[in-house]
Amino acid sequence: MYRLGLRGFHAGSVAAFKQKAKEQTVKMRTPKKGSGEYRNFRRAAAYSKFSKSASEVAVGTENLRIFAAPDLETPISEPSMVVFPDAVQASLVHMADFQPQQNNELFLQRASLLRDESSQIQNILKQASSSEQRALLTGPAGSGKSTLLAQAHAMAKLQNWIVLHIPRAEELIDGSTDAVASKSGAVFDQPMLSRRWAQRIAKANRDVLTSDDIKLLRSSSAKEDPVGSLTAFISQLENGDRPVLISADSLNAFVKTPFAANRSKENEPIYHADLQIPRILLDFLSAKRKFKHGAVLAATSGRIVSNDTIAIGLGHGSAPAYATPEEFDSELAAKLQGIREIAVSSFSPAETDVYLRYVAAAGLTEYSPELVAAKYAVSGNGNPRALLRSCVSFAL
Amino acid sequence: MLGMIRFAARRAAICPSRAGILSQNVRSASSKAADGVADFLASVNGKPEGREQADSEAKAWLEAMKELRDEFRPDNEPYKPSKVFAPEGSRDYNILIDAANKEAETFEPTLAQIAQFEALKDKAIAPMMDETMEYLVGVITRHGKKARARRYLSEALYLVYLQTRQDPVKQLKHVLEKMGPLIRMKRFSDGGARAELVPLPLSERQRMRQAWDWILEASDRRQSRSFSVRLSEEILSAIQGKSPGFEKKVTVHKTAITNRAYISLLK
Repeated sequence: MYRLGLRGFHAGSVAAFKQKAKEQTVKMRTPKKGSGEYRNFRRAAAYSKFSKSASEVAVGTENLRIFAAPDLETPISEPSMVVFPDAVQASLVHMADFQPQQNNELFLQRASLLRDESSQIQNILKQASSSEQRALLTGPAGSGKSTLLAQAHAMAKLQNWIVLHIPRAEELIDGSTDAVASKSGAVFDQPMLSRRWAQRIAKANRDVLTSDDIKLLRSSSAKEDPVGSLTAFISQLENGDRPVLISADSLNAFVKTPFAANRSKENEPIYHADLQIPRILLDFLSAKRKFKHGAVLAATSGRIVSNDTIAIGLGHGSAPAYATPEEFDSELAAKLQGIREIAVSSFSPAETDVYLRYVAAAGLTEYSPELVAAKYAVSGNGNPRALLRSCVSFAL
Repeated sequence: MLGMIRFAARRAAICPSRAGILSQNVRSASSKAADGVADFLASVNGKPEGREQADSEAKAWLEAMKELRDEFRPDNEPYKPSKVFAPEGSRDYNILIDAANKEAETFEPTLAQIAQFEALKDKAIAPMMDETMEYLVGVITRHGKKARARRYLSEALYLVYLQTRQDPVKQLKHVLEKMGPLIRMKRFSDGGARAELVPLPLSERQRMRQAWDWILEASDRRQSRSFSVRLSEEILSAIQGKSPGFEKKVTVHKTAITNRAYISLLK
């Protein structure tokens, strides 16, 4: 019927309409005509170099001081705002430790608060086997888990450790990179990610790696066989006695989606631990592999909503019966057993006070004891992110 | 005196429209103190009294009141009814400062408190209110999604702050005041073929609306996919005096001047 209609009376007008429609088709995802910024809000705020116009907080005062290697000797007894030396800071940038949602554009310096949890981090970075020094940072969104991870990296760099960091674990399994079945068939190699991670490691650890290491990670042979060279590099570290910190942020991505978006040749979903890089990370996290001197540190992400797998793995509660893998991943929970949990809480009133003094010194608000009390209450009893945003959330 | 105040309150309760006049009377009387009391008593009671008698009566009243107050402030502190007549055991305190200082003590919540915490844990904190900003948010809102509109404006103002490092709310309010036209042109016809454009004055709220509309219109021509980014750019250019809204305002004013003779048509 429909076809007849097309060929019959209306055929001409339909053809004309079709032609018109074809002409009017606008290519999707082309930028709109017009001037100005094309990025979205978060990217525009984070990557437009707005921090350059922020006012500087004087270093060496009670509001801000430099945290250098000698400071590692003394335990952290009271909260203080610190900034790390420039060389360390550069490494942190390479490790993507400063994230867009942290509102770093408000400040000229990348300072962070040393607090109770920082001393726990400091204790992990002792000269011991990495199987004994395993920890997981947990806590609500905006409580400062990633910042503590950055502090761990800085402290490790100050002691000349090698740091292997995965900034966003969700990128390992979201299918944005390739996964190829290895020769043995047990593991799926991730050549693109291996290459990227190797480059990140080489850049962030330029000062401590030998020229042979750099060659292994960044030479043309590494480009041809990224998986092989990364594997060789990590097994070198495993067999040597150089101190190594391996860490990952947003570990709960594995809990939210236990199966990666990549698929096998048989078109079956791939379990995250069967992928090369998640497997390396989880092997060290579960102490299946270890560095002679080193530590393993991971953090969950408040952005990613996940189930109780991590809590149960850390010993809070028992495994549910009849749960699907999406509801409870027993394999991952088993790997988390024996890991030290560092529960990151909100700022205490004393920490809030120190932090708001710094925020006031940066010109974002005016300091007063009443303000500290009010902001402490407004920010859900000292949630760091809410605290900062409450100082600059305009009008609303 | 006390009687007068009670009387004023009673009157206010009975007849609210007269309350204003009466309370004014009471205020003026207390400011003039004893000298004016006699006249006032006469005006309220309607009975003329001897001036000296009224004065002495008023003085006696004031002294009695002073004595009464002194009874209620043993430590020579200023007289505060809210403190004096407060139930036993209560005291003045600043809840926020006390909460901050109390942190050192260990706190064990009761079961009822835990239950209350669980119930209120997920409740959002009430947003701050600014009348102008609420209005602007209302204009942006589409399909009833006011929280989203609020976020857009907040983000736009955040970007403006990052570039100017000054209070963006103040700046935006200033710009709206500067850009808003004083009049609009209304088409007037007496039913015939001829029609004239007649200038009409705008209220403050209408002026703000017009300026905000022009800013939103101009922001739509910007490139970014984020509305907040487009809006921030337009607000910023308006702050710098470069927004097309200013030209539109001049055009409207010029037209109004040309047609000012037709104002008489509306009379």
